[in-house]
Amino acid sequence: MFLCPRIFLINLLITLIVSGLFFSPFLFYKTVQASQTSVIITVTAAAVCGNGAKEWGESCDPPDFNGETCVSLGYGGGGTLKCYIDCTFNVTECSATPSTVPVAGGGGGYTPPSSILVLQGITSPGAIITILKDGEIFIVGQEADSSGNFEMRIFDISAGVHTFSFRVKDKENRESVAFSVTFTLSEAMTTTISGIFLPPTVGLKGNVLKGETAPQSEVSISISSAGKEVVKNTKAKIDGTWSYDLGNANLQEKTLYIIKAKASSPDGLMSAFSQSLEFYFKKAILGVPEVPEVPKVPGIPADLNGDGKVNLIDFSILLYWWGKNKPGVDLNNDGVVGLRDFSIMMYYWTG
Amino acid sequence: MMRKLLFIFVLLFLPHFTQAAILYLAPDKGEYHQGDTFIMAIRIDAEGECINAVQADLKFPQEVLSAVDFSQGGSILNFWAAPPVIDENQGLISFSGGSAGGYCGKIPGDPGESNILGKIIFSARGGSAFGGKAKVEFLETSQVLLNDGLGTSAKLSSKGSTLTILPGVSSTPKQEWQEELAKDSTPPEIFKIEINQVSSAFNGKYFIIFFTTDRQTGLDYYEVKEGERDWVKTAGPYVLKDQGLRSIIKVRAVDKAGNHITVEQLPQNKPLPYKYFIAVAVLILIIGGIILFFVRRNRLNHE
Repeated sequence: MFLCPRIFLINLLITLIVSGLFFSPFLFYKTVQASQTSVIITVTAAAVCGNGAKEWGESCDPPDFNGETCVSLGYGGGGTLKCYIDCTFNVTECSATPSTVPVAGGGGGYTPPSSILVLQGITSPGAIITILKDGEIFIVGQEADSSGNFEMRIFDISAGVHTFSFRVKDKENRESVAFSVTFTLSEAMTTTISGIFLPPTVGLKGNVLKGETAPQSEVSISISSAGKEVVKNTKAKIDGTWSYDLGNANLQEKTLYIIKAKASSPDGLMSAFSQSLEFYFKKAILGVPEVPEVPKVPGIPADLNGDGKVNLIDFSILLYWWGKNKPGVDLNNDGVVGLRDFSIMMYYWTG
Repeated sequence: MMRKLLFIFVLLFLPHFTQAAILYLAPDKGEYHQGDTFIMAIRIDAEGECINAVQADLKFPQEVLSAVDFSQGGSILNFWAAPPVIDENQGLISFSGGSAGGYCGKIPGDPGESNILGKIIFSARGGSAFGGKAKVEFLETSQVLLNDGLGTSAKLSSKGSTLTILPGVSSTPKQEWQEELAKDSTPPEIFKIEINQVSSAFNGKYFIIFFTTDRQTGLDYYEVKEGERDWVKTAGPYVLKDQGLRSIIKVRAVDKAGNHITVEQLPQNKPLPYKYFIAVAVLILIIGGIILFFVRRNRLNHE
C-alpha cells in the first residue's frame, strides 16, 4: 500500500517529463520549418512603446534612453533629454544647436509602431547579396561575414504581402539563381525570416563543377539526362568553396546532362537548388589544356534592351510585342510573344 | 467485403504522387441574397513547386452573378502582363500576371495565407434562372508556369466555387466590398518615373515606365499629365507626347478606394526660352525680307 503512491508519483513524473519533452517545442516555438528549404517565420510583437524598454523601432522608452543624452545627440549645451509618447526623442529641453537632429519632433497623438522585418540567413563567406522587394531592387551590396552569415533589419516597412528575392555573387563573380520568399508582414509586429540558406553558386571548368556555399556544407549534385537522375555528394571547405569532378560520375560522352546543386549546412539548414547548367561530358586527354570556365555571367536571355539588367524596361518591351511575332522578344521561339516569354523574364528578373 | 478491403488497401498503399499546382476559389461555397456584394478570392496552392506566371480564365453565370470589380490588393503577383478583364456579356474573367523571382508557396509560420492572385467582386442578381445555384469555375485555358527559366507548364488542377443565391433581398445585405473600400484610407506606395528610349519598341520614341502597388483595395488606374496637357488614363508604359522632353511629367496612381499618390519628373531638357522664339522670328523676318527684296528687284529688272 505504501509503494503504490510512490510508483504512481514516479509514473506521473516520467509521463510529465516525456510529454514535456514532446510538446515543449510546440508550446514555446510557433515556428515550423518549411518542407523544401529551412526558411522559418517568427512573428513577435513589435516594439511596445511604454513598457520601459527601448526596442527596435524606438528611440527611447523611459527610463531606457539607450545611453543617449542631449550631448550625445549633438546638443553641446546639454540639457534634459525627454521621450515623447510615441517613443521618439524629445529634444526641446536640450540646449545649443545640434549638428544633426536624428528624430523629428512632434508628440501628441499616438503613432503605432512600424512593422519591422529581420532577414537572417547564410551563404558563402564574403558573398555579395542583392535583395529585391516585390521585383524592385531594395538592398544592394550587403556582404556576408567570414562565416557566411548575414542579417538585415528593415524598419518602417508597409504591412501586407511581400516577396523578397535574394541573389548572391560569390568571390569568383558567379551569380546564384534568385531565391524568393513570399509572406504576409503584420502591422506593428516584428517579423523575423530566419533559416534563409541561399542556393549555392555553380560554374563549370572543364569537367569540374565548382561553386561556393556556406562553410562545410554538404553539397548534393543532381545530374540528370533523359529522365534519369544521379545524385553525387561533396563537401564545401571552410572558405565555402566546393568542387566535384564529373569524371568520377560515370557519365557518357555526347550526352546532354542537366546539372544543379543544393546544400545542407552543418546546422541542418537546407538550400533550394541552384540554377541548372547544361553539360556535355568529355573525357580528359593528357596534354590537352583545361577548358576555360564557362562565362561567369552568362548572357541574360530576357535582357531585351541589352543593358545587362532585366527590369521594367524589358517588361515594357515585352508588353509592346505581346501577342505578336518578334524574334528576340519571343524568348522561347514559339512564334508569339506570350506567357511563356513572360515567365522566362520573371525567372531572369534582376530589378 | 473483399472489394471494400481492396479499396482500403489501394487507398493506403498507393504511391504518393506529386500533386499539381491548384488554382482555387475562396469561399468555395456560400449563400447570398439578391443584391449582396461579396468578395471571392482567387488563390493558388503551389504544392511544393516554384511558379512565376499565371494565366487565369474563369467563367461565371452572368444571369445570376454580376462581376462588378476586380481587386489586385494583396496579390502575390507583382506584374500584370494582361490586366484583369471582366466580360459581363460572356460571363468571363481573365488575367495574366507574374511574380519576379518566383512564388514557392506558403512558408510555415506565416501569419497570412499569402497566396492570393486577385479578388473578384460579385453582386448577386437573383436565383431563379439556375435554380438558385451559381458555379464559378476555372476554364481549361488557365495555366501556371514553373519558375525554371524555360516557361514550362506546371501540372495544374482547379477547384471552383458553388454558390446558392437565395430568393429575395436580405434585411441586412452583404456589402463586403463597400466595407473594404471604406476601411482603405492608404494611398498606393510611392514610386518613381523613368524616361526611356529603345529602338526595338514604341517606334523608338521616348516612353515612361512606372510601377507601384496598393496593398489594401488594389490599384485602379494610372493617369499621366505632361506640362499643361490634360490628364490621360493609362495602364502601363506611356509614350510621351512631348518627345522634346521639355515638359514636367506627372503620374498619378489611384487605388480602388480613390486614394491617390502623384509623383513628378522634372523635364530633362529646359523649356525653350522666349529669347529663342524672338530670335527665330527676327531671323524669319530678315530672310523673308531678303527674299522679297530679290523678288521685287527681279520683277523690276524684267519690266
